[in-house]
Amino acid sequence: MPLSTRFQIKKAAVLGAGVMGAQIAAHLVNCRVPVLLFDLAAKDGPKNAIATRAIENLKKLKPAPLGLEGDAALIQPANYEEHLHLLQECDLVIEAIAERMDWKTALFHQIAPFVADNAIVASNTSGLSVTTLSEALPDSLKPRFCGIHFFNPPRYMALVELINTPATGPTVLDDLETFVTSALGKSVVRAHDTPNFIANRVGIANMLATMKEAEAFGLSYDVVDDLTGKKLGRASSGTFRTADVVGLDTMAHVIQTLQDKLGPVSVGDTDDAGTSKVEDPFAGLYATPPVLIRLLQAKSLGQKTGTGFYKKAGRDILRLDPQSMDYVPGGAKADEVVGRMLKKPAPERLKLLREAEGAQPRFLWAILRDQFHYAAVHLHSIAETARDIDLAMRWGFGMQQGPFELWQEAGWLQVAQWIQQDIDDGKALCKEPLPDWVFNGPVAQAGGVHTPQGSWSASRQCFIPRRRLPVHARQHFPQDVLGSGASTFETAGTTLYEDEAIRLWTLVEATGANGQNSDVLIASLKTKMHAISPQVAQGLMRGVALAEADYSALVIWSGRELFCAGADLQGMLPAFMAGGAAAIDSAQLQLQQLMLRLRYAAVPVVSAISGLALGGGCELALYSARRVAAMESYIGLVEVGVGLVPGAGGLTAIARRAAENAAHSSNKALLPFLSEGFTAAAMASVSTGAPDARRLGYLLESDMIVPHPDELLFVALSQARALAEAGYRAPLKRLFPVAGRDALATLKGSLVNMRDGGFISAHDFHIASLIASVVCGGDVDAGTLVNEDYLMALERQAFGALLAHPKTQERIMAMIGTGKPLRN
Amino acid sequence: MPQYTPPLRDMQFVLHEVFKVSDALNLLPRYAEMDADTLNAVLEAGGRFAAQVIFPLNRSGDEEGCTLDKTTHEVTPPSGFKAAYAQYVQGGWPALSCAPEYGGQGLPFVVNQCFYEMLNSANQAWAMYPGLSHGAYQALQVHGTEAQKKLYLPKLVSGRWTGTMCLSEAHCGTDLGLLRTRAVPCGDPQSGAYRLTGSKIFISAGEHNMAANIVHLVLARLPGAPPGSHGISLFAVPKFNVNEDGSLGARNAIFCTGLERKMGIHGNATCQIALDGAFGTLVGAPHKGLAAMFVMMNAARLGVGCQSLGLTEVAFQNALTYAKERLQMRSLSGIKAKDQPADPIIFHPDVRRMLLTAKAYAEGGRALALYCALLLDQEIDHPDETVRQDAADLVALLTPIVKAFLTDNGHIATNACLQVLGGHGYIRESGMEQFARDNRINMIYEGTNAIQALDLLGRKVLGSHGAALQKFGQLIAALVDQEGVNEKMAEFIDPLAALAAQVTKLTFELGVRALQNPDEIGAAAADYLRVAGHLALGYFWARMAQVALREITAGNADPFYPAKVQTARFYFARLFPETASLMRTAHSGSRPLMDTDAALA
Repeated sequence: MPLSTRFQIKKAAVLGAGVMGAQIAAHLVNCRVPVLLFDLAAKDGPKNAIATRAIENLKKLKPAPLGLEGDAALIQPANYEEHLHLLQECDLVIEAIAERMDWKTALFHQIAPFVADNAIVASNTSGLSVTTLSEALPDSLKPRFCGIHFFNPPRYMALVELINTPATGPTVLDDLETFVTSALGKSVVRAHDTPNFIANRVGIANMLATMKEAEAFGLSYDVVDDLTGKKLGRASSGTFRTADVVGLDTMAHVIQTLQDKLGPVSVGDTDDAGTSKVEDPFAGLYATPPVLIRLLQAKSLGQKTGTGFYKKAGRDILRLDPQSMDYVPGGAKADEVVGRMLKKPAPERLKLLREAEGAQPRFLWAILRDQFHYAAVHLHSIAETARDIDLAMRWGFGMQQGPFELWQEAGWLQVAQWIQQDIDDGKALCKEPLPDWVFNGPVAQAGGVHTPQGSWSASRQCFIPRRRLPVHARQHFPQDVLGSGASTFETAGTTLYEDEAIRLWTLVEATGANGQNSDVLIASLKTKMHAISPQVAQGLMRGVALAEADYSALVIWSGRELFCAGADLQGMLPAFMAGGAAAIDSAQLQLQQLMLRLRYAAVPVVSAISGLALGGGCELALYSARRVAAMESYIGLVEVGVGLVPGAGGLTAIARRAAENAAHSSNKALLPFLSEGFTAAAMASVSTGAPDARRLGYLLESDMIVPHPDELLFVALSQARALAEAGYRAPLKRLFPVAGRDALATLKGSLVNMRDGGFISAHDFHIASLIASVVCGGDVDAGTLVNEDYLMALERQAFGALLAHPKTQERIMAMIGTGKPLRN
Repeated sequence: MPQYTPPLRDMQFVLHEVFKVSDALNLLPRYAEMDADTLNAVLEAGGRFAAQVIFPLNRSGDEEGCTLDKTTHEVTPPSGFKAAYAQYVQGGWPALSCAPEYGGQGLPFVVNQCFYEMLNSANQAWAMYPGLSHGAYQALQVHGTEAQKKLYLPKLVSGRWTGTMCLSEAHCGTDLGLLRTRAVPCGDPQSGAYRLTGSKIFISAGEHNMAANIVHLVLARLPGAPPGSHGISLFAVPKFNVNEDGSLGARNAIFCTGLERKMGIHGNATCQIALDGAFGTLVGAPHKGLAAMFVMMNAARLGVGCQSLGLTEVAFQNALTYAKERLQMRSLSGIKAKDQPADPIIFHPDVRRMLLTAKAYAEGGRALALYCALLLDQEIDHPDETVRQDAADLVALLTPIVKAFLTDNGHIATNACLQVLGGHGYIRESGMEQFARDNRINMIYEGTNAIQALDLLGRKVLGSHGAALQKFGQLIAALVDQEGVNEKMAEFIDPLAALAAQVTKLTFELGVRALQNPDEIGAAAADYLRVAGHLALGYFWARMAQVALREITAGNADPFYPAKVQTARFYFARLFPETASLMRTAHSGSRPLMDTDAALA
């Protein structure tokens, strides 16, 4: 799919090596964009010291900003004193220095002469007005200047807000969105240039409202966090722990911005940049909460200082008691009845919360009402459409649903009446009534702000369809809001076969013959966690046969969330209980045959991976002709965690690859090529992302890494088609050498040391020895030629023996009981 | 002297308000016209019979016991038993839930269940005489030949004759595969006639003079039968041979040779029986006797649970009366009865704990037992095959729970109630010690409670790979779904939902462990059964609380409903939580039990 413009970003520069700047640079490197990281020249010693130190520091940050720690070396450190001329090579300059208008404008004036003619200059400000910044810029930069607001941590947070100024050139944002989407894998929302833009504006107001209502309802922080986390479809850290993680000083700063720009207005009030203050009906909400002031005074800044709303004491998490300002035992959970209310369909859910007697459900209704109220009142000023607010909250605050989506799902007018009733009764945050468009006109008629025609724009009083750039054509199933009528992959296209476990289907796409059904078959797993049940295995077998008969390739793709969490162990156990080891042996054999079927299929099989690809999922990937992986792919053979060995060809694949790699090397000894794969399986290593999966050997250099998970299917289909069009033939079945008993002795020797050193348990040792034995081909001479069937039989033998082992059974039970691996 | 008031209000609550049995029964063609008034009328009359006719014979029957005339082999039950039985037959009670084609009244099992609970509250020893007839009736109805049915069923239904189950021998009870009584064909090979020789023990109601004839159902081996439990056949052996026209013939060679001296149920004749070439006819297929007997056995197991349910109820009633009247000490929180020298002991928390324990087990057990009875009705008569199968699966799952959990609870409850009476509970006059003694056998016969536990965990739960348990789990899930967002129900729903999830995991864990070592099932089974029992009782208590709360919300001022909610609250707060400890002991596995050779040397 051609991109919209010939605008290319060959190289980028990030100005300011603070926490955000350095992490943005790291993510550019993750996405193979060469980058310069600038900061001030150090007064003493090497002049790049500040940037160099920031790059070094990236290796220690958690969660890891870099896909591979070693890639830190690819970030080129620079300083404003020596290296400004290097900016001429850069097509994009991202400014991410401290939030001071004077510092920022000074820097822009300093760099202006060096910026390449067509380069875009974007400020990663989160609090300042982009237009005000723009006004202070040299004229040459104004048309190429805009705001680019990343969220922390930028590698993991999907949202980037783009903000233009009246002077920004017409194509700048389109060009930048194209790059940010496809090259950096981020999801873009365009925001108006209003204080804190969209996500932080609505999100922080929501947090302040939550704090206020929590106090009013007398709920403790731990209970509030449990209520406002996963149960409510939001980030698991809830409200107060999120504040601790973000940093209370950062929180206070963002709140301060709200206060300064939107707080209570006195006549003639202007902010530091001379802009008139805007009256915000929620002005009263923006006061810094007293408890936050006291925490800041005590230098309790959250996670970074160890104390905040919570404090870690050994293994316990203590919570702050705001009355006494002491830390008391925490960990209290929400009432289970509330958890069950939250599982009901939206209309019933909100009704239940609102009409309940308990403080917890009524609190939840209050914060939802406040959020709806706030979003509705501000829609006209902060965003073009309601869609932008909803998507910003999903991508920037980890909500499953934006406020308007939930409101609409729960019944637009009914909920609106409830909100207005509360406003009239003085229960809401302010007296400002809901805007007229809520009750009258197209929104009321449509039953909500999102329709198939588009989402509501309060400023333009009409529904506006989704912005379509050519880059969006790379997303077959873009994320969209409830009510938009967008098709979902579960039902889209033409279904050729479907049962509870799998769907075999094709896209209807322009590239197919006559713009009809695509020539590539897609297999989507439907089981829980996309586990490979016997039915899934049968379905994939059917898929290969169907693809061979009627299609040119097969893609295994099951949506953006996760590839496959492994074989369905729990599902296999009843068979084991009934039929004993023999039943499991035949189930294993079936899985192994599936893998071989994929590998030796007459059409190319491409695995499109994002999220988890564990155990059997990893094996599916290994036996595919090619893998296409989203940046955030967590791939590994984790069977050791449940006391087993990879039993569906994973170890066989490791042994075969070692032989292939050794064959291409002058050094014909197998062990060096085996040890990494062996270690990864024996330690149950899981990649920290797609680049790391290459290091572990689960992805090959020829496999593709896709920054944006929503482009995964597009790339997988094009790869599958390319393989087919290149005249794909399956590999020939051939014998290959195994490392044999000497290598096995060496591997075991290292395991003995690890066991005796207390690094692994006796059972770990036992399992790892079995893994070593399989990947070395057992007790045979080095160089003995074997085939895959031989090694797979060894896998089954080891698997069956372990399944009967009490320690393995303990591990399986622990995994099923607690969801966490037991290391016994 | 103890008192007994039939708990008709609570029975009606469970039948009509919780289970809505009329509606459920109307779906069965046989009971399409059944209405609540009919059921209530039967129960009222049944309650009168229990309380007025046989309850007065309970204490005296216990004191007097049975006597055997060694020369005639005749057994005389305690005074009054025979007359009461005559009244029972005359009232048509034996036929209550027997098929009309054999002279039965064709009433559903739920009615019979209530009636038997009241009989057992009133006099377990007496109730066992007619009680065993019903099992014999069922075994013959399912497995008997047309001739056998014609000959025996009308008499058993009318109560003119009674029945027994002759299983145990001196060297075998739990393991019937070891039994030695032999049956040899006689006469025409096609006649199905046999001569049986051997001896049986522990035959309840094995001999008496209350009915004209006794039909013994006897397990014995045929010549050349395979060893073990696959070589056992079932025979009908009458005390008096029966002529083809139904009239009585000669005395058959099956005699009572001794009566056991025992801890409780003194009024029931627990007989040693000798067969000396006794004439009998084969019931069912050769070597399939155990299967045929299991029809009786399953009914009998539910019946035994019902016996303890009856004792739990009557013990509670008497302990409650005593606790309100007995003045001792002052209440811990200050004087309650100012005009009395001391406060009634009911003001002590621990006395209330004991009383409520019995009440919660009685009312919860009643709901569980009645639910099983309704399932039995559905299993037999529901027009929809899947409903019949589901009902059968649930009855199979719940039967060992009803038998073992209710009898263990009866043990706990009758002893707690005895304790409420202090020294007065230990002496005979109050009647409390008899309830505790009579209950004790219920934990042993018809398969000891350990056997029930193995049956539940090994056969019913793991044998179906959890499918049977899942069916019950679906009932709980439906209730959680229905009431999960009701804040008033949270105190009942929360623990129930949590236990359901834990039981699933525990079951799975035990299943995996059992693969490795079958002793793991035996080590965990008793704990597991009690956990499963609470899962079931918790479910029924939650349903009862649900109904009561609805009535209260609707403005019903009947104090019955707050009483229900309070008892439910007590149950979930004080009895249900023992599941945590039980699951922990179940987790501990077989080693602390089996690795004890030195300790048990």
